[in-house]
Amino acid sequence: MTSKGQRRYAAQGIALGCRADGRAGKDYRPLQLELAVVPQANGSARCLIGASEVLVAVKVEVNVPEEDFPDQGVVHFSVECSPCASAAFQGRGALDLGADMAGNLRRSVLGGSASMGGSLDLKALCIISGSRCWHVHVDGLVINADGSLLDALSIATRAALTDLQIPRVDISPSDDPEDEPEIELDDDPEHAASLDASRIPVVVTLAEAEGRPAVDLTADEEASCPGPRVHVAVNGRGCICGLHKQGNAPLQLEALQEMLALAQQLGPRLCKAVNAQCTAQLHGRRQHA
Amino acid sequence: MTARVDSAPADSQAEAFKRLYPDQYYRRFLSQNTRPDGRSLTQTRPASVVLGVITSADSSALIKIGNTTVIAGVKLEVLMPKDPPDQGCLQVNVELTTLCSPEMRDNRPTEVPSFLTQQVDAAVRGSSAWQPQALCIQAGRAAWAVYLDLYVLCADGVLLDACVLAAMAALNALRLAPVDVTDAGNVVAAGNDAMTDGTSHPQQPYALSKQGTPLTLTCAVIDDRLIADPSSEEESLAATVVSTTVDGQGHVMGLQHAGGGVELSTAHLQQCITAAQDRHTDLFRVLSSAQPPDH
Amino acid sequence: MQSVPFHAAERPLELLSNGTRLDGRSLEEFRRGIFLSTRSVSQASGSSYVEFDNTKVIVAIYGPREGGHSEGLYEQGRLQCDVSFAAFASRQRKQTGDRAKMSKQNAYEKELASQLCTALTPAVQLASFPKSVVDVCCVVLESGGSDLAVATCAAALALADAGIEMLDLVAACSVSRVGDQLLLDPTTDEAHREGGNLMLAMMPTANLVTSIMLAGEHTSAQATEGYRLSSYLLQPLA
Repeated sequence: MTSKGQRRYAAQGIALGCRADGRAGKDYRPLQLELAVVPQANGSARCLIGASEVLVAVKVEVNVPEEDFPDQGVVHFSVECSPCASAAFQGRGALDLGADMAGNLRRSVLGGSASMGGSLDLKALCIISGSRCWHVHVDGLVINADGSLLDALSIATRAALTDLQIPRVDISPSDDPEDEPEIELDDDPEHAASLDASRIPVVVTLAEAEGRPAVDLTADEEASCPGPRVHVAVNGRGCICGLHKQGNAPLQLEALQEMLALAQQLGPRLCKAVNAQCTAQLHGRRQHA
Repeated sequence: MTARVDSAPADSQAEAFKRLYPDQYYRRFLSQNTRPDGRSLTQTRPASVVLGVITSADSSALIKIGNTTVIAGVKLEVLMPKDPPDQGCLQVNVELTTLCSPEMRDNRPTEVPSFLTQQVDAAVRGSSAWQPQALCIQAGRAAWAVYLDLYVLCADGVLLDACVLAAMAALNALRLAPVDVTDAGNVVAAGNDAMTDGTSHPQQPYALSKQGTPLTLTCAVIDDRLIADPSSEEESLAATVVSTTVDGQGHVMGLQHAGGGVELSTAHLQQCITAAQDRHTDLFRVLSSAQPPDH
Repeated sequence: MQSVPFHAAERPLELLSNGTRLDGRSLEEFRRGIFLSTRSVSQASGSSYVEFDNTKVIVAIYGPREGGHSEGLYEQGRLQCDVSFAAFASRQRKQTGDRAKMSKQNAYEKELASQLCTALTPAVQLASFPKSVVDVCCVVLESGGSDLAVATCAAALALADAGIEMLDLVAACSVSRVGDQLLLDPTTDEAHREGGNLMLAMMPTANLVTSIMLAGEHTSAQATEGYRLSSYLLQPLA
């Protein structure tokens, strides 16, 4: 627990561009990314932003499509907040926070309620229209919480989906036309396909410190800036793909506009950094093989 | 002006008395043969029925008995009838919404919804009007499945009466659209030419028959006196509560006596039945005068 | 019992003809059948019933009551929101048998509840009921589109009806992006074909945003236009 004076000091520091760790208001902490960390998953990534650490694993399974969208695959999101990641993650609070963050990720990746206008090509996940498609499970785990969790989760999601290898399926029509055709999975990683993850946005979380927008707050800094927090999903082209306000304080439209502008400036840079790390690691792996 | 100043503390005193000693407060009224809401002991509250309030449902009804509000909606689905092959089916479900009363917000599971579901289901199926054969589209191939969902929106006593009334209103307003079964076994709206299989079906939307609509009246026994159509307050003070379901001919179709070890005298029982028969006439009039909005 | 839904009519393929929508509205027009009322649940501290054509929502407020220990200790008051849908609220009946579908529905209702809470909380004087909880119970009787926005308006009205101290009412509205067009206050059929959506909740007098949610890819201009449109048009609604 910090005093009011300490909190004020920290908030002013952020606003004036000299934070406890020497960063300016618009600077992220160093980003570390590691692909293919979970061997059992079809794709995975671990992301560290400063001390915040998250893991995202992606698994795929063959299942039936949703009735409303027979020629699309389905993507599920879940986020678990490990109780060892933060003292705040005890009991029900962690469940609600996890569900909130999962919903946020889903909206930013999949777009509107009809899953159209999202950043993934769900039609590519269709196997047999109306009867079989891929269900993609994106499961996030918060290992250590020190602010910017959603940012880290979105970066790890993008990386894990880049890493994702979907096995090839062979469809052999069965003898009886009434029956469903048989589906065989090809285990050979050489034949696996990857998904186009280049349009997936990253989330930039912005806070208000003394009336000025700031990004990547640590847990201590978050406690000093009790104002509203805005999560903006931005893709590599600077388009806004999602927006969500959090916190009990109201927000002014002008402040929101300022935040959006900053997010649109930072988002593409972040995407580029993620891409660079992904490409380097995927390339390294290929050479290794 | 002075009168107003004087009456205010008297009101708040009465309010305080009511909160502290609800049973004594109520008995004072009872001794004067009246009730806090001004009704006589056997007087029921006005009922109203509005049909077709929900456009996403195949038929719906919003009913009120006093403050008690129930909304009923029917969704039709199609199923393949197996055993027996010429009958459709009905599934009733009653839910108390979290907003219907202060007790509900604890989200503690109670047996009330399942009890109401059972009773409403029994009332509908027990009525002579209930013919599962009428739901058949084509024997062995397709039949209607009727899902009747009831939501209690405001609980101020006589939930069963309200649920039965809402169920009846929604089922009476239900019109089954003329449909055809395609060769592949799919059910399509009639008139999609060339796909018909030649069997004769009524080409107008048709209603289920509705003779003998069962309706319920609940009475409470407080201090050995019978009180018709009790409010939630009265129900909580009652030693026992009796719900009598009668049909259009006045036959008793169901009698529910909740309240454990309290005995119910024959005279009271007779009184309950007579009152229920009278109430049936009232409610049936309300029910029949309700018109769907498109009529 | 295995049954399949029967739909008398398919969803419309075209949403616009000559710049007007299927229900005769222009792009930037609210639904015409707006009905607001309070005191609809006699047992509650406050309640409201709101109808935007086919979207029908009923909200009741209970409390303030003592906050339970299981919910943790809070200095200030708290809103606890609950949203549920009637089984017949949507085109397709709410599943009761299938466990996977039920849990999906539950997750959706929870998500809406948390979003409702976000939209309302900034307007409520939480300090006026310390360590207590106000329950906001909302039932969507018919889901005709823009459900969350309508629920937010209804809940704010009910809170006011319950006499809970507030800074201002909250008004909310949705905008759907279909193709390149922005449709205000979309219906379910319109939302079904949307490429993105925006929900904005505001305190209209104070001109402060209590909640904003956007999904789907938008260019900066589209987003700005979206919230300009909604914030501008929210004024008469409040």
